[in-house]
Amino acid sequence: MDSFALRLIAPYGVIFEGQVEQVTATSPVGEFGVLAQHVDFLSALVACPLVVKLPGTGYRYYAVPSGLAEVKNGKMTILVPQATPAEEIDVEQAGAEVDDLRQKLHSLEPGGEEHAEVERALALAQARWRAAQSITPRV
Amino acid sequence: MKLVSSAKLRRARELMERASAYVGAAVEMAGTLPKALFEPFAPRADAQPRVLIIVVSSDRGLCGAYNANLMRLVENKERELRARGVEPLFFPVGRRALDHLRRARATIVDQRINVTPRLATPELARELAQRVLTQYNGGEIREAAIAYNVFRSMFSQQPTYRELIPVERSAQGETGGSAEPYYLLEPAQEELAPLVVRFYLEAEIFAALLDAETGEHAARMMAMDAATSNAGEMIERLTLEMNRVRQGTITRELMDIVGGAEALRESQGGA
Repeated sequence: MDSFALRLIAPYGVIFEGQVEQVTATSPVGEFGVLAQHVDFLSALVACPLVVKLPGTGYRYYAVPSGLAEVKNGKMTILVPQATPAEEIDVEQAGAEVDDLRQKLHSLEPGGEEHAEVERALALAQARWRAAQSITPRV
Repeated sequence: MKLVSSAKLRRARELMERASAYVGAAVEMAGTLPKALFEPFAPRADAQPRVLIIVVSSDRGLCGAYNANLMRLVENKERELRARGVEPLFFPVGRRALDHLRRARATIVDQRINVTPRLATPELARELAQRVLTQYNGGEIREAAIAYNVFRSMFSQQPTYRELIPVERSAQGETGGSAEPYYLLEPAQEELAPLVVRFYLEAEIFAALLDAETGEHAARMMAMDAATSNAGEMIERLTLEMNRVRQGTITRELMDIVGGAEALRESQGGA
């Protein structure tokens, strides 16, 4: 499979830079994948697990809260406020966080500022949990 | 203090270098996007003739002319804006700017002081960008800008006034943007534009905060270096003065002893 250049950048530095075969992320309209020779495009990202397929058989997984992904002249740049590698996430802790936030969200009136804030936190917690699950061996 | 500033400066420079990829990519992205993307961000026709100016100074002094030069630039800009019939609103970041603007009876809409341990954080940049966007979208201001010191070198910090919004003037000023909407956009343009603008503003403000923080540590380090060297010279001068006075006292005492001995000898010889 053809590869293309990817740069994943957060305010405190470049998190990933190198050749990749595929990138999968989620925009406000749904999940999308980028392969080599993708048309120039710009997309917003919502909280999601960002999956990077490396040349060969390797994968990298990151949890991102939001971002912008651009493909231009065959190169992809993703800007995110932060990106947590799946290896740094405790899957059980992330799962417990999802449950807590889900309960908290149910107890709040929709439409309020706090409700929106908890909704955002829940989306990120779910992204973290899904990213961590991706690298957890199934028993 | 020189050593402390030196360590802080090293960390700030490292961070500035690491953040340059993010800032560069965000600014480049905003600068080359289709012009049409920014149409919803043109100044509102009914917007108040006001400019929100974020002024980034230090909290503490002992950093040479770092704050004085910046405040001079802000004062000049304020006069210029008033001559154009535009009212400047200030958002000082740092105690020195707040104190100066209070003394000058400027209109202060909000402030952030004692920002520790770091001034340049993505969180503060996000908060300031949000403030700018809320006021701009609400028609409370027509423009927004940030005044800060650009870190040029250890010896030079350049006071700078940078327009943040309207975006098509700041982000696309140099590149002119792209006339052709060749991008595939997801989601649609009207939903995507606010996000791109927010990222762009956050990156610009973060870059300004990084410059200001690095410049402050450099200015303080140089000021402390000059103070150490001045103190060394003063110690040398005072030691010389002390030795001169001591020598004078010794000489005077010797003269007194010699004079006393002479007088005694004379009185004994006379008897």
